Amino acid sequence: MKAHAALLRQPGEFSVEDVEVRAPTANEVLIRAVASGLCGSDLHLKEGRTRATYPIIGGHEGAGVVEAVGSDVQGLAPGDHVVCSPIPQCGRCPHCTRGNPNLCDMVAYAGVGVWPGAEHPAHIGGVGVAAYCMLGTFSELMLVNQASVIRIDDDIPLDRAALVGCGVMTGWCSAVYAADVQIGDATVVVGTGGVGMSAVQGAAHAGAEIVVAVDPVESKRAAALRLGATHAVATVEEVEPLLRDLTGGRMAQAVILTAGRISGEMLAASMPLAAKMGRIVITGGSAPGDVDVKLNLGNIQATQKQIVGTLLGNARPRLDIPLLLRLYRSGRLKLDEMISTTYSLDQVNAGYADLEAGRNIRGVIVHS
Amino acid sequence: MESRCIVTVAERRMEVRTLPVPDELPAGHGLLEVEGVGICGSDYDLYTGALGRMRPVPYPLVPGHEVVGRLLSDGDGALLCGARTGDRVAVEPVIRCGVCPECNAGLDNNCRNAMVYAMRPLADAPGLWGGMSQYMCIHPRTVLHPLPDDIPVEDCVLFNPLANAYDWVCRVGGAGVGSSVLVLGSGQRGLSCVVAAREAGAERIIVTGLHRDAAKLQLAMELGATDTIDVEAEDVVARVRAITGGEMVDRALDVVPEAGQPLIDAIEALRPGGTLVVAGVKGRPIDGVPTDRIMAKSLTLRGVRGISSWAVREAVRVIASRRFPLGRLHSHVIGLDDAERAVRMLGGEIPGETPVHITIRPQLSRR
Repeated sequence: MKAHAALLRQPGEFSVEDVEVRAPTANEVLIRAVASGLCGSDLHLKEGRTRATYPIIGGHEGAGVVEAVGSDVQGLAPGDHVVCSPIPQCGRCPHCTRGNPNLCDMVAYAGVGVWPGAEHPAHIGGVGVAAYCMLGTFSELMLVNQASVIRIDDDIPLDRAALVGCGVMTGWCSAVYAADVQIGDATVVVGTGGVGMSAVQGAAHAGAEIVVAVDPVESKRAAALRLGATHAVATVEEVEPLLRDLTGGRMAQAVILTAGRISGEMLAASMPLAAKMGRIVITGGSAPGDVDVKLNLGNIQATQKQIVGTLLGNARPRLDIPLLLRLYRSGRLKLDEMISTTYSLDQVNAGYADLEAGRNIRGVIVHS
Repeated sequence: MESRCIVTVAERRMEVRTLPVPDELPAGHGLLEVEGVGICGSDYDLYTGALGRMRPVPYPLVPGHEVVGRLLSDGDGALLCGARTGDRVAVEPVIRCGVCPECNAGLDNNCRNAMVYAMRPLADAPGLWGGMSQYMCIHPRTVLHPLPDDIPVEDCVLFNPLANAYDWVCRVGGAGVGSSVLVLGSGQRGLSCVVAAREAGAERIIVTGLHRDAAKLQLAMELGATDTIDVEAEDVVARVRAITGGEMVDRALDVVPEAGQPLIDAIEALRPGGTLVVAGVKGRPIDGVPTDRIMAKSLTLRGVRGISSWAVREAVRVIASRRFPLGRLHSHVIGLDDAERAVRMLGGEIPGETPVHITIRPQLSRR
């Protein structure tokens, strides 16, 4: 079947071309994509900071409608509404079986873009095309393994549901699980794009008394204050005196770094914001060359601060995607307010230009 | 190709049959040449029908769920487990869906869509879903664990009771360095718990048994127990108090089937804040459980079911390490034709036999 898809033949600009998507076999599901979020991780792919095989269809945050299923697929049928998980749950690896499916060993194939042992999901001019995170949500048709597909209720708008697949889940869960924000905590969220704005909401929902949003873009600071932040400042440097004043010098139990690219300087500047036993959570990505960090080791030792990384915010996608959509339905998770601009697939490069220029909380591609 | 196998056709009725092994297996499935299959209490419960009173049993079926063998063809699932055609593997008995809420919450032994080897009917082609067979069909979602070639198969099949022990003592019971652990029961599960408690770094390991279990209690000491109690000659709680200088234990594991007294003893033998793991199938409600003592001592009660994938990995690791004289745990090796006798022996029905762990080797007809 022919499908319009935004792909990268090498790092650089996306080109929108017609690919041939094959039919599903065994555990595979063919999905007619409805919407795809523009997430910062694709920016890493676009700019060659992610190891990947090319040509590759971009996009890993999407929702759609099941078109067809392979013979071994259980619990999914044509017409079902689904959200894709950027990390599959194989259900067998040591992480899946211990309840940490966000660390499923299959994540190793995210950049390879082809499920091990399977054919390429699509072809163009006789050449196999990979799909980022084995999804490729920038295609009208996606051929994915059932391990990456989560059925949702039909009443949720799919352009909202798409966001929950990666960015919203990652941010919210970074606060609720990875940072383990508790009632009465002081929390700092550094970088309030789609992920950070969700971390702000998660921290507020978990009962944080103080939620400081940090973002250089004025409109994002204003949006953060509408979504649950109690304070918003432009730079990390401004947070320290503010927190010192607000907490009587005790500082924040959780500092969540949700910027699109985390640097050593950003981490070092965030350390003084954390309380004793406070947790600094690294949610955002970085480039392979980002290895220089200068930290005050004595301070870490004496204060028992913890620096932790997180993938998808320690989420369990099959539980957390439906949970987040229930919270959206009941008005406790704001998604409508997070969508800044919608684009057609042909406008994908313009969408990323807006993301880089700081004009979007979240941009969404709506497939025609 | 054909496979000689045991078919349980109804309660207390096992037959030796020969089933065809189809040239073409269901899509993605592998084929295993069974080297050995261990038997445990649930095999006996399946045989007597006690299991059938807890959940439906789809007779007729091929029994045997503690399986070690060699992959003749690997199928779709083996690759993801790091196993290839020709490898010797331990087969996890439960095939999990991986997508239900329980699977995703780390409760993989409570998978709501679980399929279990030895609980699939003959009617599901090709019917070879149990280990009491020369060949067994491997579902693509099975988790396989490669094993070294040079360890006796009778040691290898102990992965199942040892995995139970790792789950009960370590993952669920939370035993660690310095723990004091009371294991009530000295059958294959109780003895396996001694191994797991040793590996976890427990400081004191106390094992109880009946008067006739003297040899098993001696074996418990060889495996690393620090003390044993003959429950028919001694008061369990008083002995624990004496052994621990009044401090009592912080973990207690009841692995005794049927009897209610071990549960009550465990509650009394725990110190405040302790954890009781309930792992013995009683088959009935237990009267006389002192719930006020659970409350007053701030105890934690934990139930267990099946085995987790983590525990099987740990069990395979400890078998491969050769750190324990596990050979002392298997008392009988029996050929396929005598499988029914073996199951009855484990259930205590054969006078004069006191088995600990029994292995059936389907490639042998009699031994």
